[in-house]
Amino acid sequence: MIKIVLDTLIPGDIKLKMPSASILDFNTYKIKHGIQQIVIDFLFELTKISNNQFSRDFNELDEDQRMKVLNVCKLKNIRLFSLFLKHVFRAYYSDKRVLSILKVGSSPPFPDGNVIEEDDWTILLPVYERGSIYRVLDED
Amino acid sequence: MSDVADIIIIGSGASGAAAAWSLSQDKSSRIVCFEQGSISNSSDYPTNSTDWELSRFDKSSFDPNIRKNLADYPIDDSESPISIANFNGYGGSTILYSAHFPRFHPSDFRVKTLDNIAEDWPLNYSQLNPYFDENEKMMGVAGLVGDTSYPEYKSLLPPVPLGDMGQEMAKAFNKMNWHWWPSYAAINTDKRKNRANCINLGPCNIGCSQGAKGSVDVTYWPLARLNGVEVYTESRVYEITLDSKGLSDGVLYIDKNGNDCKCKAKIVILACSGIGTPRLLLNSKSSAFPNGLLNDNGLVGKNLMLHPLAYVEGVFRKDLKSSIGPHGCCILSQEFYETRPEHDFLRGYTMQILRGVPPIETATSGYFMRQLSIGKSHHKDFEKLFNHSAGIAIISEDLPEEHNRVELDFENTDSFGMPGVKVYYEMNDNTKKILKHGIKMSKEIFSTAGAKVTASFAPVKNTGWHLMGTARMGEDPKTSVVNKYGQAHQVKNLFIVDSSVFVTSGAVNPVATAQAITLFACNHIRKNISSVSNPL
Repeated sequence: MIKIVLDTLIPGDIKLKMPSASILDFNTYKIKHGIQQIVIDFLFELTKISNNQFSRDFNELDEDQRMKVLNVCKLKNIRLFSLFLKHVFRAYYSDKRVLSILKVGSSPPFPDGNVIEEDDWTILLPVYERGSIYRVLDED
Repeated sequence: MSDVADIIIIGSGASGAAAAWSLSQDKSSRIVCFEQGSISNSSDYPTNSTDWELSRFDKSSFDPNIRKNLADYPIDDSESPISIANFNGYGGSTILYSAHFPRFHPSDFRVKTLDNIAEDWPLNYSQLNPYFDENEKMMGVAGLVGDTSYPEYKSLLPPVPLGDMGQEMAKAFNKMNWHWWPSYAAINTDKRKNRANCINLGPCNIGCSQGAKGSVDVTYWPLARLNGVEVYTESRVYEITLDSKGLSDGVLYIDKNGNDCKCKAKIVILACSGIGTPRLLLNSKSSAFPNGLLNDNGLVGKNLMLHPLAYVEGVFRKDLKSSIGPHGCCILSQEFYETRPEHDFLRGYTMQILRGVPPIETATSGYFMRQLSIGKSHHKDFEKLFNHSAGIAIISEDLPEEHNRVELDFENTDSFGMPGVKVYYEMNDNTKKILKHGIKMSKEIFSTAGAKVTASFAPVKNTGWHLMGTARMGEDPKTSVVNKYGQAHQVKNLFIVDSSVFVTSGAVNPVATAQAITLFACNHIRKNISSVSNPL
């Protein structure tokens, strides 16, 4: 079920070449960050809502129905929903495969870092020409 | 177990390190520094790993209540709209700071004279000027001389590059005819003093694995240790002791093996931050000071200033690669720093332009600020935000008020049973007006830059880095704890050299000024070492 939940929250996007969150090894993430209970509670909540709303398990719903269940879950238990979603974002946007597609610049280990073009400091002329703006004290 | 030193320094952070280096120029003294935390190894910093952003939520969190290292003590800030941020370890909070390094302005030392609020300092900008210069050389500060919002700087390393986003913001400031200047940053923009140069990675505030950021473990400490200063890490001082004449005769501490120890000294120097310093003073009770050391006037722990921050975020249409480069250091504007007659508040603020946030933060804040969805449109929304955003942090002048304070928290103790700290803090009306104005002006500048404002709020909760005022300096022992040299009015061989001694807060990051004050104080100690050691 977790794979379908992840895929509903962050599906893949072929045009942007972004993978679905279902590629994550969420089990390892879950154990590493000690969120087993949060995951259990969240999946239990989704199962309950999907059965109440559609008389079927979450796995058996189509995409629109799954989104509806997620939205109901958000309204019913915003704290649990937010906590779970934060962890999905954290797992997804720290995944090497995802970061390699995004323009995050140089990634560790760092051979060179990121190059930023040198600035043309004549851009400061208007500031300079305005003159000093700090308060001058007699003692200084 | 007992030991004897000439000078004890408590705390190895920004001020403790500067004190160690300055005092160690006289090599005849045995100088010992006690640091409750351990040494960070730069090869272990999270920036060595692709999932570095995750470390902000646990081991590299700047919230000690989340980090919960052995060296951290509990800080109950439930009575404050701003949470305390710090790092307890060799190098102190400079390990996790963003290295913003502006000086206080001349007017910051004269707010009573100029604006009839708070108090003047017992020293001024001119007296500190040579120490600002010296400190900037030691820390390696990048920037550009000629800033119209300051008296002349002598020299700086080449500035941190603006990047595309910085250029866009600079143009907008020019259109508004407002002041802006490249940030003052303790970041090596050139290879210098056996330290690598910055390679524009971004996350300076989880520890710089390059060593390009000027944290004091790579600036002052190597030189101080070469001069013979001894540093005892994982050694927690829990009391400053007095002799029968009322002078400090040393400290009691728990060493790294858990042994209860005493170290005697002729001079004791406190540099534990605006929270740690009053904590230790209040915990050092004696028959002479039943309410805590130096606290006979009740001012230890009072007048806490935290620099409340407002935050405004703007999103540009273009991809400006805004997340590339040192995150905290890009541009500052001090257009509204000084008091103006047309404002409904006194004093002012700095606008600090921050680079775009990294991926996890983009997704999380984007979702909760309703700029990014889950489901089918997620990636398109993300693409519009990531590398397109910039932030403006508005750092407001914070005024000293006695009810803003830290007290010992006997219910929450550290791992050795020493009381934690309870923080009581409220923003005053002047600060609220400053932040409101800052938000309005930030929205104007984003609008001029062609960026859409996606978030604006104040105060920002997790930003209590700047801990000032809790053992303030002054000429009158009734209204201050130490004199202009950081020398305690009541115990003449006890000095405080961190930002606890600040009389007012200014509206810039305090570390450059705190270290300049440290060097000023230590120069005085060096020149007067025999009378300071034997003041009676």
